[in-house]
Amino acid sequence: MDNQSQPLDADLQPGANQPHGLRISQTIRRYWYESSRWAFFFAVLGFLYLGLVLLIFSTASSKLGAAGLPVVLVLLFVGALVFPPVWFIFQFAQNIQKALRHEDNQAAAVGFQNLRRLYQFIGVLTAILLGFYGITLIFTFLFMATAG
Amino acid sequence: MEYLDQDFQANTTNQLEPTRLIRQDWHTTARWANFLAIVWFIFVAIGLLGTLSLGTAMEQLALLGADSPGLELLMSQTTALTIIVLAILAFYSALALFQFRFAKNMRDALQFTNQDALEQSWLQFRNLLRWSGIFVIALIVLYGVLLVFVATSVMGSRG
Repeated sequence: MDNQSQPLDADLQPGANQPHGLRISQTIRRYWYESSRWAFFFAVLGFLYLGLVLLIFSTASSKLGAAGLPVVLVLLFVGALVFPPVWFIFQFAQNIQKALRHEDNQAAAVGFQNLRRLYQFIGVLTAILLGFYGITLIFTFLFMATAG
Repeated sequence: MEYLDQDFQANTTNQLEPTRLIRQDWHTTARWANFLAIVWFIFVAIGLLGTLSLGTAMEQLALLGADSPGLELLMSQTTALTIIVLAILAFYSALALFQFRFAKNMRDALQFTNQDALEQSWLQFRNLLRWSGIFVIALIVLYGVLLVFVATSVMGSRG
């Protein structure tokens, strides 16, 4: 079993930059290209969603005034949660396409850095949600035990 | 069937290299992907248990005397509802499998310098995005159809 106290990438060999046995074959390039196209599609959907949230936010805040504050706060919270993954996937798509088009290794590095950030963000969010579910379950059981 | 990704032109010059920085990012990504795949599998299993016990739960509600038109309608549609939810769960488990294979192959590729595993890994990642995309497109189309259906019904009832 893995040592959970180590950083996620602790067991990666700190080898020299080059040469390394792995290479970026034409097959991998094709998969990257296809993945980046789909990633771009998701990014566009995400931006459209954020635009919609912004539209509702501005309408609610102008029409409801102080009474619409809870709605505005919820929308801001949703926007703050949705924007980072959308931005990361957009950056991933853009940089991978740039890397493939111009043989730009730096762009590829930025692209994969954004993919890593995307996974980290979703992973941490999932862990927080799981923790929240766990705490809710514990409190529910405690409540039921004391009430019963 | 045409996908978003059919017009790729193979590049003959190959200057892209998996540098140490890139390999580290892939490794971290694979660790998180593995975690997410396991969480997805657990949620699919919980969803499966919930769906399979749906019929029993309905019967228990009916036995308790919770008679209502809504419950009767739901009970008559239990089989259809179960099939739809099972289909969605099967799709989610396929996505979780792609995620898991992406993570596993990537870790194998980096640990054992395995080129085949690296190619498999990116294939699984492409599949994950492709099928997620198809699912999202299907959902958008479904929403559109539902909107048209509701709008037509409302206009029909008025006119």
